[in-house]
Amino acid sequence: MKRALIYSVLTLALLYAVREVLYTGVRKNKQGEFARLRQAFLEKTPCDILIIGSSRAEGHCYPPAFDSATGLKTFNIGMSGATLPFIATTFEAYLENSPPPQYVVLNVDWHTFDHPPDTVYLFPRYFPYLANKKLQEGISKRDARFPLFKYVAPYSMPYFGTRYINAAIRGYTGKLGQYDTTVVQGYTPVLPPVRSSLKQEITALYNREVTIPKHIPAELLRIKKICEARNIILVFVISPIHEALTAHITNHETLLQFVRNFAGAERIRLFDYSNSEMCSDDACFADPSHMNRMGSRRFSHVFANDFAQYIR
Amino acid sequence: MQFNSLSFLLFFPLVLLVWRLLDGDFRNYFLLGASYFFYSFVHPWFAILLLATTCFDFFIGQQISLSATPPTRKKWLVLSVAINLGVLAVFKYGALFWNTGMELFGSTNNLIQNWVIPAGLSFYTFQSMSYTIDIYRNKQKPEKSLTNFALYVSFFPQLVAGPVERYGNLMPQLLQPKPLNEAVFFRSVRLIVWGFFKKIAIADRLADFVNPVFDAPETYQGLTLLVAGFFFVVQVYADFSGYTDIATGVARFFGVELQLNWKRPLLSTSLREFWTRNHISMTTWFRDYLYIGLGGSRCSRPRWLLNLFLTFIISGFWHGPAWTFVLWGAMHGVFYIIEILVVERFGALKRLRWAGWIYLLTFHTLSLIAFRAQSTHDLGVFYERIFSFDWHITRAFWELRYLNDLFPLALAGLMIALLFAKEAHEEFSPEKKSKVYITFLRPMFYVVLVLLLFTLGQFSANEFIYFHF
Repeated sequence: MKRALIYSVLTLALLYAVREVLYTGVRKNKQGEFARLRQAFLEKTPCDILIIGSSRAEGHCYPPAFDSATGLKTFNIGMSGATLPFIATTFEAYLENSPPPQYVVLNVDWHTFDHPPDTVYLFPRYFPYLANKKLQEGISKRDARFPLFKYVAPYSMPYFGTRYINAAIRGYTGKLGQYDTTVVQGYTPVLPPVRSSLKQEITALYNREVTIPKHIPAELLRIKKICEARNIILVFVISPIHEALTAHITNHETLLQFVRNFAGAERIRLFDYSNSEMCSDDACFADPSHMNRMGSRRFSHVFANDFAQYIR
Repeated sequence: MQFNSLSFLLFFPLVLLVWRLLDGDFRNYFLLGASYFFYSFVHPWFAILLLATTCFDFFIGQQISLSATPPTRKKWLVLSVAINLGVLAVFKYGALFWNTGMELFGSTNNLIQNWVIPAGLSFYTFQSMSYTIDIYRNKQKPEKSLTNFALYVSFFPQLVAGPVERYGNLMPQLLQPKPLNEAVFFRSVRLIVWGFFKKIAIADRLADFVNPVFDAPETYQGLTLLVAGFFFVVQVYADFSGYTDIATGVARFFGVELQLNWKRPLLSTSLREFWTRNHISMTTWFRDYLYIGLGGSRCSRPRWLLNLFLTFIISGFWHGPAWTFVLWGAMHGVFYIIEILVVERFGALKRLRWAGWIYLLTFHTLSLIAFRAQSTHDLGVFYERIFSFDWHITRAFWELRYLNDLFPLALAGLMIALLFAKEAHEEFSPEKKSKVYITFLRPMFYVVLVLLLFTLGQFSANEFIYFHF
């Protein structure tokens, strides 16, 4: 039994070592999705305009457009799949290592209110960055498994699939992934779905109602308070989504009115592009919820110019 | 409950600990309770069916033994077979019968779409049925205790996907478990680790390539379809033999040595050899209770060949209510008979065994495509494109890469190579191992295997393929 114990301990120790090697490799990525997470959560990444939100923030707001329109430095930490509580967490986690920006642009839309009971979307991608205390605390509130993920290697490893091992190998070899070069100052364009077209995606849409959970005003106020405490000016933006999707969210106008009312009551500037002509232009969209690269650049140009007007 | 689930990782050590603390009859009472808990974890109602089958066969076994005259004994046996096959017919083929009936009467609105077959139904009904047949054949005496018999039918390590145990092998071991010494402990741990590796790192990784191709075969060219078919050969073997390895390893902790179910069948050099190494417990079950029942080889030569063919056809149909399974069985039956005739005429292949191996793998791949295809139409697409020989290596590579990227594809290749290398090592390496091998190399291999399992395993996968057969 002594032999069994020795080999068990050895296996466990090696498992922790392998995990650390993989995490380090992921963090070593110089460009792309994982470099962006490192910059956002582990490094000092100063900027003047910080874009936060879900995948629409991540894939719709192209920072160089803001840089050239405003003369300020912009960084995008929108996280795909993030709902409001997690968006607040990413913002706080960013502030752990980076100085407060002058402006925070929060992209608000129907997904912000969607509150799926399951875990954080693509949660294993945050594993290598849990040294950020705010991230660890915030994410643990959303997903109770995270303390275990952090400390128990045999528990976290099964979730860390080949996608991340591939990223670790790229990190060590210095090679770039297929889409790494598309990531610019945190902006990550949404690519069209591989096996279907926009038309097919639109056909697959179904009517749904998005209820506004009770905690939403408190979460919005939480973000506002973080901003006020650091003299950051908070602005909201509603970026375009395809009109077909809008038509299928039966209470879409109610959601938008809620944002408008909240912004009005709290004196937060709202940039509303929910009725932009881009919403009906198929050429701008990768799928009904997301603009494609061309669409996002077009939108960013418009929004950045409006934003530049506002800060002048 | 699945072996590859967190709940089993808690269930197994807890049950083992309590079982070891108990003594005498309490051990088997507890193991019976644990087995029913294991079985009813997902669908509690299915345990009622298991209990009912058990009670019927226990009662019928006693009645056969008590019957004085052969006709009475036969009546009881027929009742047992009818009940067991009836349960199979209703719960496994019920949806097929119902839907066919509805379609005949033109009522297509009431078709059953999502029919859930109780896990391991065929395995435990076959196991239970073999008990009554063995009593009828005077090979076994009836069990006196219902608890013991229920444990024989439901012993959790092999309940859902075999091996299909015989009463004469399993029951004595459940009554007098073998001691767990250090050698058995390490053998069991190695087997469990390798079983998990085969399931999680090999079978489930290959499934990422197999499933999309079989879902839409018309999207792919011939060579891609053939490669996907070969991947399925390895997947189904790794999946099913992985389950058996875990089951065998777990059973050893309870002092039970389950029968050998797989003997490296993918290294066979002929179909006849393949069927002596593949899913042995089920193959011997069909041999002993169906093939011999049909008359076996003690009859005229055409009848003997017909018996062989029918056995394969029925074993195909046993897998499920689909023509593709029957076709798979028929292909094996035909080639098995052709092999017999060829060997009779020309003698067995003694040289060029590698040619036999390639023949076996090719035939096995082509026949398993029939097994996995979702319809006869899909199967037609497979065969038409494969046998058009319009193969493009580069295009096949890109089609496979497109499915799941280059890294997982390379890993799938590596996993297949590792599986064959390990099996070849077991097949051809000398029995006597060096001390360095035993004390260092082999344990380190399994340490690395655990690391690879956690690193490269596909943990999001589903249940074992054979659960619903």
